[in-house]
Amino acid sequence: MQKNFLKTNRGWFLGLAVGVAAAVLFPQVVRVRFVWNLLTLILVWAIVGMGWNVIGGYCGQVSNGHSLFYGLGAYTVGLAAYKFKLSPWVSIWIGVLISMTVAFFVGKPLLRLKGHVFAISTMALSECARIIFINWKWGGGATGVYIFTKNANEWAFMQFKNPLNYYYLFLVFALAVLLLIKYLDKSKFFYYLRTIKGNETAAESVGIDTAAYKLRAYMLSAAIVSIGGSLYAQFILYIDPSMLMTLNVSMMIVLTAVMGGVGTVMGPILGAIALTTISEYTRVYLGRFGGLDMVLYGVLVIIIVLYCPGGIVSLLGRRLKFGARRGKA
Amino acid sequence: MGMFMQALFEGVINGSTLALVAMGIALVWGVMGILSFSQGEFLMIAMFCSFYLNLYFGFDPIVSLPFCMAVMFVIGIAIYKLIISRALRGPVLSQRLITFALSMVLINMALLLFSGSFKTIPKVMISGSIDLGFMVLSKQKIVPFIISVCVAGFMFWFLNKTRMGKAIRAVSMNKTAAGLVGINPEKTYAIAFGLSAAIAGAAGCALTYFYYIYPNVGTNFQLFGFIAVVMGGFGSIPGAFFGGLIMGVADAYTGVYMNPAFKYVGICVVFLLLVQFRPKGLFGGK
Repeated sequence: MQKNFLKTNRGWFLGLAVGVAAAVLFPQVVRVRFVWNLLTLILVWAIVGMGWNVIGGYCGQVSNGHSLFYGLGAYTVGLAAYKFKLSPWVSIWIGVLISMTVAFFVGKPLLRLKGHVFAISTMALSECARIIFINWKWGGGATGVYIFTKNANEWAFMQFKNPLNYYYLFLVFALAVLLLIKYLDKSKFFYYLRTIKGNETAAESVGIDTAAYKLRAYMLSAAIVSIGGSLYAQFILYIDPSMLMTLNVSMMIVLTAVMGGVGTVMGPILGAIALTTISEYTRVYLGRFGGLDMVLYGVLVIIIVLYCPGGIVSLLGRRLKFGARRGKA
Repeated sequence: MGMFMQALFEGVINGSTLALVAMGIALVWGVMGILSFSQGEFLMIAMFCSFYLNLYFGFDPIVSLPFCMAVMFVIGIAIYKLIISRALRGPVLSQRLITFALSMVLINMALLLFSGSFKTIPKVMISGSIDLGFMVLSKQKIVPFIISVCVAGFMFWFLNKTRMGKAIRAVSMNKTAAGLVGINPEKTYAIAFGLSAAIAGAAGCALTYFYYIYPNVGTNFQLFGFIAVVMGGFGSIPGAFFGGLIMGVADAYTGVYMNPAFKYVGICVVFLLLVQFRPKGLFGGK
């Protein structure tokens, strides 16, 4: 489709190489365990944010229930390891398949809805899933499941003693997703999605099968978010519905993308960096004052979203401005 | 039969609170087009307000109701002036996120100030129960229902008969045209937002009659409030009121006749089906 993908994006790839080099070296320089965990979480949120961005950012169908796929990914990996001793290397992809299947079946009716009603419906759906998982005895119920496999090979079961290994592994995943999004960014598929976002009726009238493309975008975004969920479960080695499938998680996913810049390639990554850093540092320094950390976090979110509706991307110079302006929901 | 009627009673009681929350959401949605995530938290603030008035001054929730509503009205207008009016200039998505972040701030502020423990008002003015033989009506639960109906009636009167109410409806139909005929949209928005907070305040104050008070109490009503609004038809205020009542009754019946654990799932499934066949809601025209 794009013969000159590498050639036309030379500058971008140069920047990426520098970014990756920095990402690889940074934890070697700053040898603090807290920072390593923070970086790993940033990667998880970046993946999830990029996933949401496909349907919410590019296609304009703002889903407030992506914690459903996040949870499905985490649960598939967790239960596969806990019940069947299956390596996450396999079960991540099973999780992707499950998420895409669910997205296929619920996407068809849901994507006919528009605006706030679509958002509320997706919220209701993930709420349903949360309650089903809470009452699912075999799957651990409300108490959740520890998924640590004893005496397992570190690499075969993706359970590392050294937290840096998680970081580097997740970096590979995040990079893969980023390249996929960058590749699709200028593809017909994503231009169709942008058209649908701009004006659905017009898109239909020029011959775009809007229902089919929305469904495809929904499935792709479900798949990516599911990978993020799987990795997160693998990182903390514990799954529980009240941690994975709440409205809060859904909104954090949306926030990650919005804060960085809706419908831009780099937006979710910048958003993940900003949001995770704020949330982790406030938690560490203010967490003991029961609730103060979340107050500060919420206030910061309000200020950033209020004064920078185009996301962090829109602040970063003229070159990226076009993308940011387009990103306004 | 007894069980059926009892469930109906409980459902209507819970539904009446839900109906008020839903009315507030519908008002903000209809007038400003914002999906307000902070409505449940306004309810929570009013509950704490009512609780502390009872604790320090011994006011019964019925007595403190007008005061709570006034406080919430002022808080609502302050929040509108401070945050929402600025958010309205931005994209729809950031408006939604801002109200969500606001709800997070309010919940955690309550957690910080009042701690997370469950509180109840120990002694209320009207208590006891009426035994009808086949069912028992708790007087404590009838009071919030009556308050809800009164507040809803007042709201209908206000929106249909008063100048300000008519202005709110005009702005919700067409902001520019309303501005042209001399209505100040900014002022109208502020009052609409304040009113929605005041309605939630009334609901919260009434709810303290029999319900626990804790910082997260609002989130229970939030999603159901949204669903009730969509059921009633976008931003239609009477629709939201009846949507709320129906939600409450449906909630009670699925709880009684099906596995209580799955009652939320039942409601959500019914909602998703309804939206498929009647995307404009039960009472939505066109």
